[in-house]
Amino acid sequence: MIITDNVKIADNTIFNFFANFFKEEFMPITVLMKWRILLLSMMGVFLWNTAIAQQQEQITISGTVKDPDGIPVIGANIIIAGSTTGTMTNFDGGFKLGVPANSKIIVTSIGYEDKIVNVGTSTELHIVLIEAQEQLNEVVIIGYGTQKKADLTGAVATVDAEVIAERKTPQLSQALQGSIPGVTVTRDSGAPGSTGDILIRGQTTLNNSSPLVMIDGAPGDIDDVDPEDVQSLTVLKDAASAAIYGSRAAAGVIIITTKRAKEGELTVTYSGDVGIQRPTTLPEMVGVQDYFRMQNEYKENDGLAPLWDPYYIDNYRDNSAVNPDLYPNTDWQGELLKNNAVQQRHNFSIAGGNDVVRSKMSFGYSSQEGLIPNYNWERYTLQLNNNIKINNKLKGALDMYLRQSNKEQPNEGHHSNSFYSSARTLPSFYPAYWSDGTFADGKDGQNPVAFVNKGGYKDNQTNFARFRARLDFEPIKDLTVSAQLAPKFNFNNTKSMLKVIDYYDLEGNWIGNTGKSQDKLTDNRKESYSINQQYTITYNKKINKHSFSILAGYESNYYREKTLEAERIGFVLPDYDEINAGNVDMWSNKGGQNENALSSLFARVSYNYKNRYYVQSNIRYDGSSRFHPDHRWGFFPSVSAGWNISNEEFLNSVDWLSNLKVRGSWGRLGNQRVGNYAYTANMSRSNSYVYAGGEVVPLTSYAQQDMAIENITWETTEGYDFGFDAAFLDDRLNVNFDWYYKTTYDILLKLDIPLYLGYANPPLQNAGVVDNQGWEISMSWRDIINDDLTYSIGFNLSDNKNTVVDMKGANQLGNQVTMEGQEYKAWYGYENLGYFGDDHADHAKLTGQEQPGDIRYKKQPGGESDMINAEEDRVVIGSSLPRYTFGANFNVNYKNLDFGLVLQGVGKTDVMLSNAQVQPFSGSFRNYPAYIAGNYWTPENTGATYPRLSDQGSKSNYQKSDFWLVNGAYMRIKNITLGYTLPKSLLKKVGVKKFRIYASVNDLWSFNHMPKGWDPEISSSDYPLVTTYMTGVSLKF
Amino acid sequence: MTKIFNLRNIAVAALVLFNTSCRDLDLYSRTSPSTGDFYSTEAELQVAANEFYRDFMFPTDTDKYSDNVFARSGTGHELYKGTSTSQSGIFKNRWADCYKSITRANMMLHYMHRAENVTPEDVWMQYRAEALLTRAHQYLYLATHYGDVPLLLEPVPLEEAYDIRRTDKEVIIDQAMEDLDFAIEFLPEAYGDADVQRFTKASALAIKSRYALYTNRYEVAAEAAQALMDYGRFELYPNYGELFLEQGQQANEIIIALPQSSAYGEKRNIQYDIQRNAGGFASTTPTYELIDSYETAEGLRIDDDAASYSYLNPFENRDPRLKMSILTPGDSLMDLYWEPFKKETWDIQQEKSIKNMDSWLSNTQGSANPCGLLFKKGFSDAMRGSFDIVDVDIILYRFAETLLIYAEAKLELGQIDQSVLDAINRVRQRAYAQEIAEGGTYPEVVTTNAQELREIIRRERRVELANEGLRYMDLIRWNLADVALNRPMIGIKTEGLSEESNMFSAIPEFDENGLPTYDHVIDNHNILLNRVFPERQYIWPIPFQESVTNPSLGQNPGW
Repeated sequence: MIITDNVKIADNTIFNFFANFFKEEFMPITVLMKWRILLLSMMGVFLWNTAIAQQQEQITISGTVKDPDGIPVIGANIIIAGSTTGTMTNFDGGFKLGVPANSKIIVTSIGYEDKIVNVGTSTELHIVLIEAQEQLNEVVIIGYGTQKKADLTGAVATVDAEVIAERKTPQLSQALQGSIPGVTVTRDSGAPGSTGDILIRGQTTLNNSSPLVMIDGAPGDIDDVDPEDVQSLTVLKDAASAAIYGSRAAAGVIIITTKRAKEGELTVTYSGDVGIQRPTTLPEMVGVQDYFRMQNEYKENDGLAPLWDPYYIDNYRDNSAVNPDLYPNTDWQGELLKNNAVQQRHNFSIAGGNDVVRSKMSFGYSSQEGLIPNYNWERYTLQLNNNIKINNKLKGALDMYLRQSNKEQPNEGHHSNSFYSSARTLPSFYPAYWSDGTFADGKDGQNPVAFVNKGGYKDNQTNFARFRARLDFEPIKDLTVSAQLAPKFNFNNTKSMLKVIDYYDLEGNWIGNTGKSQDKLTDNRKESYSINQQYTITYNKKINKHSFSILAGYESNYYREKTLEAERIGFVLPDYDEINAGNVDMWSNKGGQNENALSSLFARVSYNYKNRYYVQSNIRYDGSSRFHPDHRWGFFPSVSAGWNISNEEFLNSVDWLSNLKVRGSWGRLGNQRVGNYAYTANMSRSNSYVYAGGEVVPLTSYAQQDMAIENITWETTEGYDFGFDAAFLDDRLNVNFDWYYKTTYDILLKLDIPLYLGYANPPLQNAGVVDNQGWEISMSWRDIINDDLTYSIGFNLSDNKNTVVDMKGANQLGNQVTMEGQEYKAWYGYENLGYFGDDHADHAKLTGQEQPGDIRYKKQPGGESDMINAEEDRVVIGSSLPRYTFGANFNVNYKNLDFGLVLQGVGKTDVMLSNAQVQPFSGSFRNYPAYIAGNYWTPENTGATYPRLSDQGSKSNYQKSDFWLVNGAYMRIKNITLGYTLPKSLLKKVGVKKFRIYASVNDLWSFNHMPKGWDPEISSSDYPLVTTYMTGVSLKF
Repeated sequence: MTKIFNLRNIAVAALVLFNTSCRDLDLYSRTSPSTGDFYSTEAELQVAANEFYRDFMFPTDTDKYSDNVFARSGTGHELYKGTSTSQSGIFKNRWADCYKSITRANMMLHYMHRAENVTPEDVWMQYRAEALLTRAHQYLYLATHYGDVPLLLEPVPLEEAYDIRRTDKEVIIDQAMEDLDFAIEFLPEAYGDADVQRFTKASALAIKSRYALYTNRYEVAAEAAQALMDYGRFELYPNYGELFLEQGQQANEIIIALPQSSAYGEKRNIQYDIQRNAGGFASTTPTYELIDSYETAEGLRIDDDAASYSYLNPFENRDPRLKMSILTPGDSLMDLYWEPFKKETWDIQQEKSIKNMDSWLSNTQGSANPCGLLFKKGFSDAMRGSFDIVDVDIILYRFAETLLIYAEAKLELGQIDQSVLDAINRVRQRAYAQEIAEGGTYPEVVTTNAQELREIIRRERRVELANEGLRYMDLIRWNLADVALNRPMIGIKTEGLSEESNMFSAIPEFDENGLPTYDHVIDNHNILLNRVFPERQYIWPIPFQESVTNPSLGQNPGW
């Protein structure tokens, strides 16, 4: 319950509407209807405001625009507030313009601060523009407020809106890759609509380490902002800056604001680009004859008869040319993947307003085609931001964001492998098509090319809405009371149809199907609702040289999710693909609900003396529904301090130093993302089947399937940060450096428990301690050579070293271990000693069946067994976490041309090659990359890269060992852009302010150590990463 | 406007908002009760006991671990390639399922006193018996496969979990037998036809007799088997072939089965087991060692000089169970003729000749069946076209096994008498039911020579129970695994493969254990595997996760 009916807030219809709108008894369906009404009413307000500015009496004004030194500013834009009418200054800085009396004009020019001038009745104006002090007076958005960049005492990084827009990615998360030191973005797919995973300063916890994202002051998902709509993006990296967000901030915080309208200026923009995507790289698979020959060798090495007759092998290619049905030679990857796929992005926006209402509406559309058929993603977004000044003391904001995303993809349910894995593991002598163009049955009905074309679909549609209503009330000067409500609604529908594919031979005989005899339809609906409420009081005061700022507030979050799924098997008329069309004798359904809530109190005090000495402290008190009432509340304090040395008098005369500040901080943060009811042990329902009356009947059964520990509580992260910010040579050179150390304790872990306890999943325990230590440096240089030529170079580098300190002795020993004293997810396996030779009988073995040419492992000292075994002989062999992640960019503008280059990479990591990358005949038949042919161990080739061909030996050869580790360092050309801006003189005639065309490439090339054909960023079974070639325009009216 | 937005009104509104927005943080799952006071009503006991009928509660092996079956898909290969380790999935999965079942039984046994006063005594005792039966079943499987294992009779809190040690195998078996005796005492003899068919005394007796035999407690085994023979409710189903199909599901021969129902989604996919021509993978194949173990119709081993066996016509004049269990050349299943040596075959359903994907002669991808043989037992013509929704019940314990347990136990006790011969002959007689109905006879066992009888009983178990998952433990307890699983496994005869090929080029030689061997024909056949069975594998290893989370459990020798 938020606002009851009997509390009248305002007569204003919008507020009434909101009051009704958020009544507790609302139904999702009515909400959907109301969206439309809300949208229409907001558009109405917007149009009304832009219209009133037009009807005034006209006068003519003239004057000059100059800089503080009296030098004329050439080409400055002068626009009547609230209109599109305007002019530009000439070579003397002079202008002449007809304006309505008592109106305002806005004067803008690049490199200067915008100026608004009240015309009044004067007809002659002399305007002085002040040069923009971009760096130090920049305002940075921080938790529940803003702060001047110069006043920051924590490790806070910002990214310019232009930098994000220039990356030209449909998803915001991917645009951050390599942009900010200490922020690592990884991708695991190049599929349409795929996003990036963000880590700030390493793996803080062993659970979810993704940062908290605040969008216009309310929690959200980073990819729920169109990159074109981003106004500012701030990353709170250290514990002190993030502590105001308490229990959600342990993994860092990203604060995003979206673009809002400026007063008086009507701006219409369009930007869009179209591009094609191609795989960054693809492995070449082994040729069919090599496959046959090697398979014979593989069998013979195990004492078995060869499978293929030499005559058959030798003539296979020739025969294939004549009779491809009998002698297929299929390039599975080529058949599955298209050569290229189209991508497009469009954004259209209108912004304007007067001193009462300012509105910006932005409409975005993005779409990506997949490299495989029937795979598409598209997204529509609408962002509407309104600022309302009700009177001098009361201001409001009313924002809305609507999104629909649609993703359609072929159904993957026919086979346990992904399509890409299938295409790479099927040998080429299985047919994809018959010569008459119909689908062949591949291997036993497994034909990924048929699957993606005829095997059914999985369609997902998400309708998402986010609203924000905010009031800021300033009853007395410097004191602001604010209230904000931000509800979110998400409606998600996934509909999967698995269609049986029947295969026929050339004569029309049925030869098999995909292993399913009946079509299956699953329709899944998920709706979620969340509401965030915030109430804050801020007080800012400057008394002489002392500046204070105090903030106190309350925040609550509530989230609820409901799911419902129905399924039927058997569709007599498969074209009718709704649940009701399915057979009624095989069906199932399921549904459920989840809730969680968070309540918090917080406060901040900041103080500075003479802009030289700064201190700030944050505290937060959080309660979470995810913990037992006795262990529910957590307290998260922080403190930070800074010294701006360059503001000291003794440095006034040093003119090469424009800024120098040192700062340090300490803070404590929490994490609670551990499932919704983790502390309660629940009885789970299942079915068992018995006979009754001669029929099989289901019995409902209950059992406790998982163990639960009642007294689990917050994970806590405590951290220090020390850093400095420096600027030299009139801010042309900027250097930032941070060193940090943080330790996370009481980490909620699912430690392996003995299986004999009888629970399927281990319970959560507050068990782990993890340390992270690292540093970040960023440097940038920007310079203006002359009017025609400007350039900038930026570079950032960071390192994070992670150590698992304590696991309560219960190390997790998989192929990647979480083990005391080691890095999180370190590679764990055997140490190889090269190949067994003729003396193989003398050495310890893993299975006992090893022969010369199999990989020999080191028997670690202290073991009891004579065999190599998993308990005694595996050790940490490498690191899976990236270190020395870096990014670099270079930009140059020459006259109307601009060029940009972005690089990104990882300096040190180890990649474990997968079986698909190194193992021939896995499962005794699977295909493999061409580079293995001629490169495996034989008695004549004992120095080969790959072990001997053997099924018997494969059990030990393809164990995880350092034999299969490769250097995972890479550097990627993330983006190259070349743009051309049409001269303004040309555009003026057609009423266009700016027109730029560009060509751009994303993910063009990478330098790496992977075997040929594999991308260092993703695993062998993932959708390939893509290189995107784009051309686009941006227009401003 | 300004009037409404004065300080007082705003303050009031803010207060109201604040009051109504303080979140309730006491949120609980709305789909499942929590354990706090469960097991305190009769209904709660019932739903908890219903859990004992879930399929993972019934530990089983498969003949794919043994010399009866070869699965090209790889199931069981680790066990006879000698490449298994403590990390192998086979060892972990069964162990985990057993202990999952034990814990659910222990939870109920520990807490069910809460419902003692609100539940009729016989009902309460029955649920207790069901829990004990389930727990005993798991421990018997664990002890026979892993040797000494942790014996847990109560739910164990996490703090105490690491103090657990292994208990001697014999102690575990004693405990399980005691629990089964409780179940035999308190479970009902039978249920009314309309009632839910839960565990009966017979269920407990069947488990007891099998595992008593496995653990060489022959007296107990014979006694339990005798009790089932005297039970009065069990008899052999007259048609051996149909017993494993839809028709046999309600047979009085079945003691414990897992009911299947495709309507409720409880179904199997048999694609790996059926012909390629019917859309299958033809991957699961009976071995030549199995088919050569079937006697001739005279009741003689095929290498017997008196036997009317010809390797050129190997499937004629044999124990009728051969053709009821195994799909042999010239026979049909799923309305398709099985012709491993013909380029084309006849589709009975479509009434036309089709390209034969089950023949090495026309399957160019090298994926025809490795031996030219498939199982027929459990598969019917009706399953064609719907092989992914097969819901014929899975039989776990049946009366024929009881009779053979009785015979073997008595033999090993040195008590060979007429009842032993009767028990074996009942099983053999049913196999020949059709021949007898047509006026024929069956080869009765008459010998009382222990050595001869032992070979007959072992062969009888092998063929009667073929592909029912019992062969692996038979090899283990007879100490034959390192013999039978240490030889090359041969596949189809590849020498001179043509439409006129035969399966064999000679009669196999039988070793001193009565197992067929093929060294003399090995050059003519495709070798499927060079099998290796290390001695250590007689006792499975403690799974990796256990010896790591609790190193004081120790490990079995050789692992």
